[in-house]
Amino acid sequence: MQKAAVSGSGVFAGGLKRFYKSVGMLFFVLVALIALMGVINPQFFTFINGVTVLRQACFLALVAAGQMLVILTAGVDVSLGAMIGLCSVIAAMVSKQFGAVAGWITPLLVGGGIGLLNGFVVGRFKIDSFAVTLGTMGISGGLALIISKGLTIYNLPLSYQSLAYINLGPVPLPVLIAAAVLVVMYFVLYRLRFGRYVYAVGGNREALRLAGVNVRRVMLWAFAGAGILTGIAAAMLSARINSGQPNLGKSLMMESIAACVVGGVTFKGGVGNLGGVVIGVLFLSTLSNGFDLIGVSSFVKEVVVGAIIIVAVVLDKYKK
Amino acid sequence: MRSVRIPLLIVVLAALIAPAFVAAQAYNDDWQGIMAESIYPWGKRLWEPWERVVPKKPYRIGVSIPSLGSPYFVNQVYGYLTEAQATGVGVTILAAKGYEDLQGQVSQIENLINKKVDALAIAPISAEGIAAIVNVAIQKKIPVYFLGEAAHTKNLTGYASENDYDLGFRGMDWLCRNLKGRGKIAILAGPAGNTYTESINKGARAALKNYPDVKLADEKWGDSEDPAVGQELAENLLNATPDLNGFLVVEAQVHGVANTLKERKLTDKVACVAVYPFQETIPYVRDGSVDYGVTGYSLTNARILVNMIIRNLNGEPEVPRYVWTPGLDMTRESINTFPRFHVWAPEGWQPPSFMNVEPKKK
Repeated sequence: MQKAAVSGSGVFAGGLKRFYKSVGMLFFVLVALIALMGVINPQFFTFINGVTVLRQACFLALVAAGQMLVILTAGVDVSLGAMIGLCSVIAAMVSKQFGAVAGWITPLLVGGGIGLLNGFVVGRFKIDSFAVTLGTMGISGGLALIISKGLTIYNLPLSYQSLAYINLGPVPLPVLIAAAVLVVMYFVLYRLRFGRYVYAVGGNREALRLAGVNVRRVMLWAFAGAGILTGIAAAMLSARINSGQPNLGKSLMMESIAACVVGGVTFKGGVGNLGGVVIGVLFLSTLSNGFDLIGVSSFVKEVVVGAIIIVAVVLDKYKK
Repeated sequence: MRSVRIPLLIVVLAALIAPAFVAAQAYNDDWQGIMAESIYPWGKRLWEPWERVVPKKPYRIGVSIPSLGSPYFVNQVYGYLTEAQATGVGVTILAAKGYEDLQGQVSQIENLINKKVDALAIAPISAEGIAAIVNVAIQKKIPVYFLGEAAHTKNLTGYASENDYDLGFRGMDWLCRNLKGRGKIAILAGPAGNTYTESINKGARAALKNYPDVKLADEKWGDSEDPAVGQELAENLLNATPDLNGFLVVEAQVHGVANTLKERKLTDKVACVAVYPFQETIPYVRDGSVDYGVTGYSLTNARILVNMIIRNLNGEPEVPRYVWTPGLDMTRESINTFPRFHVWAPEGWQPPSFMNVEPKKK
């Protein structure tokens, strides 16, 4: 009996060790944060607030997952935020002409198109991704302002906002969509060859090329994937505000990088996992929600988030 | 090291979010008695004085503003905090990261709804953009009030505002009259996609139609809080149109425009009008580089809104639905009698880290 108990606890300890190695310290810090927020303000622990945190997190989760694809290839995409504004504006105009469904689908095409452009230029001309996406950030932001003339596009079909406000049971539709997309992304990254290639590009691009893999194509689709994921986030965000806003989502670019960094994805490439990014997203969203419930100024929030990013990265390095 | 990691993190977090509350300075009760245009739900319009009221219960008001980076909203925060202290209601104020953080404001309103506040007071980044979440609040029986434009949200319980359209109109009208109905002007319109700048712009263009010989040479949208942006735009516009006669500028950009005019010794030749000038604009008005400013009762509007909310929550039968406060002119001649306490917080006042006032228990 004792032997069985020992081996049972050994299995549990082994599983915990594997989990810790996989997601790092952050999961436990997230648990500690949730506990702290709940103690300071009990309203944090209500079911509805938990649902709210998930709803607020799902947009960042999609953009961060897209950013992760790019960072794994040792790149970065700074155009994702501006892409959201452009997608939002075009989606609004399309929905007014052709209905809500067309408006929901359009951002995926626009985001995917910009992502393909990013991937093509980075892969074909071997230019640093920061420089290329800085350019597309300017182009996307400018186009959004030109198309919208700097104004909000509103009076969209009422059905358009249902993408953001329908619940299936207690769970908001955007949360379900984000969860489904992340499951697909898990499958792509860890069950398909493409996922292994994405990691390998970041780990050793030259070795992969010598192994006969078309590295340019991998880069192309990594950036396109980031664009598509951002397009989905843009469709949902646009539905949330039921309008097209040229400046929508700009802060999500930095937050997506923060979530990836906090979640253990390194800029060197080839290192990081989707679970870590999801926890990073939940961490940032929990912090934001908790601070709002306490009433902390957004200036203080910025300082705290920045400090936590540094602390999380340092602690993760110690773990390694 | 391993054994102290988690506790260390917790201690660091706790230290960082420890309260750093700075009490609001003594407020100025001179705001009471201000005449404002009250519009009642059944259509009656009256110019009547506003006074402070006593709440029947310890209500809590949730406030959402776009940013603390703008003195306009810092003044509002002062109004909310001091009036909450004076009346005995509670207030929790959340600020988004700026005019571009619409999804942030939506999230903050969501969080205030979860906090189960008795009423929401919102200065919207975009009235259309937050309409959906406002409707969620109303469905949860939380009355919603706007401070600012509310053109596209029909379900509000009330709002208090200066009339941005009117301010834009007055500013442009003064500029055109100053140019004697002839000349070329430029507009620095502020951030795109925001309800208040769109209203100012509409008002300005409506006034411009009355002066067919005043031509709009150019219009630039952009960050209105950054004087450096205004300076660069003014330089480029003057280079592109050397015979430009006037500028209409929204907010702090006007300081940059005024600096350009002074540098090029054009203050006597090019008129400069500020919509929503700040305290920092006063020296420019005194030295003549800004010729005219028009603003609203930013601070007092917040105080009026608190009292409107209390009156509704108290169950008063006749409470106005809309309250417009008039615009305030500022020129070199009138600057010494300008009623600052209606517009600006005391010089040097800064919002505390926790913008929270607890209600006084009855």
